[in-house]
Amino acid sequence: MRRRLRHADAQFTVNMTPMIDIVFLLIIFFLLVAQISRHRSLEMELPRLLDAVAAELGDEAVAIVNVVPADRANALGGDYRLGSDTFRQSDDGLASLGDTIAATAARQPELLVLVRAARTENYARVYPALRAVADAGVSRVHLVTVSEDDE
Amino acid sequence: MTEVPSIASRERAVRASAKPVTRLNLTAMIDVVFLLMIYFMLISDFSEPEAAFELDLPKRTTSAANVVDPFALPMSPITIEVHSFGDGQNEYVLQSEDPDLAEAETYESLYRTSRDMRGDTLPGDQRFIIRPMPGGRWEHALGAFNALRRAGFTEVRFATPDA
Repeated sequence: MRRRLRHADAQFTVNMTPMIDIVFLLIIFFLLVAQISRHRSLEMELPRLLDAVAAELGDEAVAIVNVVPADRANALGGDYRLGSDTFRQSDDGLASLGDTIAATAARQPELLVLVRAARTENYARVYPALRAVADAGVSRVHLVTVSEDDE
Repeated sequence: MTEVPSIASRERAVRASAKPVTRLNLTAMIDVVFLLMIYFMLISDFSEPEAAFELDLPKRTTSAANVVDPFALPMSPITIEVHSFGDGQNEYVLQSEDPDLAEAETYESLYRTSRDMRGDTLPGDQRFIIRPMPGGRWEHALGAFNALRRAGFTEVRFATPDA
């Protein structure tokens, strides 16, 4: 009887400290790696090349021209996207894209323009973007890819 | 004669004089922390690091007398045609009118052949044009571009697509 009473009186407390430590570490980790969408890069499968001589992108001032995949062009409102602006693949649309790039380049003379297009994109839809950048007078153009070495 | 306090009364006195124990209720904080953790786990996107090829276009002159097309190449360049017949990485064939590069049908063979020819039958500043044929995929065009850049050629441009 005495033994049973002593057993019932015993208090079981769970030590939460290690769990809280780990949970906080996880939160800090996700806070650091989380990238809230910047609305400038479009989700797409980029060209994947073996032994690419491409250089990793730095933190310099860039304007990113995304070639919107054809099946999403209507939903996103255009064939090319620069920041949150979209442009159609037409004479007016491409002229507007060129003007926007030229205006940005006027503010930032060393502007680097990145052209992003999906790996299966038709070249005929990528070329007008390159042409618009050239017509805007920007000579620093980079073509974005991912290297297979990164896997 | 003083009265000796009993053990029970001494324990009561000690208990009454002891400070109240302050306890922190962590339940609410743990709830919030778990919610934050689930939120960040859901929104996190582990994106692949991107790299970029440098494609320096010639600066366009503004003088009306000297307007040049940035895609025009003055020397006789070698054209590499890119034929894509599918979305796959290897669903392409390269072709060139240059007899020495005629056999170079893949990125690797184009790289090796042009690298061996560089400084020998081809000048170091030889110009190339990548011409994807109708339906040509961007990845295949970039693959040919990369092969020539790997071989050390910097004057590599893209052609106007055929109508």
